Amino acid sequence: MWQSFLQTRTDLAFLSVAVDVAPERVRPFAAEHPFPTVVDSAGQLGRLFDFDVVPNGVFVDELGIVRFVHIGGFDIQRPEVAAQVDALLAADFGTAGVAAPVLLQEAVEIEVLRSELAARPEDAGLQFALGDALLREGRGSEAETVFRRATELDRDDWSVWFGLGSALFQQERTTEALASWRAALALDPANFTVRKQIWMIEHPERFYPTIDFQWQAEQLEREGYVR
Amino acid sequence: MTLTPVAPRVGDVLPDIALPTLDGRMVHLSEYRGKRLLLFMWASW
Repeated sequence: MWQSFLQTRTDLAFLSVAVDVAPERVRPFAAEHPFPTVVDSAGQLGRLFDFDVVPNGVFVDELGIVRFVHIGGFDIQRPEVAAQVDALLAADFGTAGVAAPVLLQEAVEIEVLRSELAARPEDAGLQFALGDALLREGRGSEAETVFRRATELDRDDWSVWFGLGSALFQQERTTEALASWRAALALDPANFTVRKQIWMIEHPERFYPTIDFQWQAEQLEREGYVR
Repeated sequence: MTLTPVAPRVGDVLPDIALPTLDGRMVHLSEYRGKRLLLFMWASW
């Protein structure tokens, strides 16, 4: 679906971001599509954009300014979604940058983050960033230590518990990972990126080779979730 | 450096996050400066 849409919109750059904690699940999609796919195992974008469902779309202009955020149901096969993207492509945003760019998070190296943390050890956001960076490098054990510290500093933030769960999962400590993800879900019961991650591990047969949406609806009821 | 986890709003500059491809290459969102970019966030489930 995306491929045919993008073929006629060659002036649009496209980046697919999978929020899965298990990158191998993403491989079939990535293999089928020519555009780049990255994996956000720690939920970095979910934390940043505060989204708890997918699929989502974010449109960014030439200056790197966010022009549109669509959370949930971002399906390019829906005519209104395609029309929205086309309108954004055609829009004249001007060439002026924002007066005071809001730089919320920078891509920084692990050693830089460690240095920052030495100066501000109580900064849970920095701890999360370091944990995420370690996780991306496959350093799950070190990431676990950092995320654990983040949960001590800000135990009411679902994303640090999710990050901790991802670090444990990377070390194949699935039971502990599930417990951490459940802690995240308890803090944010409406967070479907967390809830479905749990389901995917506990009930893989409902997701592969095909996704059983009816089961998901029933499971929500079984878990007592009311929208 | 500010790492406050506040959701970017329309009109804010997108933070320069780096995320890995499946073959381990890091993609920095800032690589797309100069182009109009659509970020599509999804999951296999």
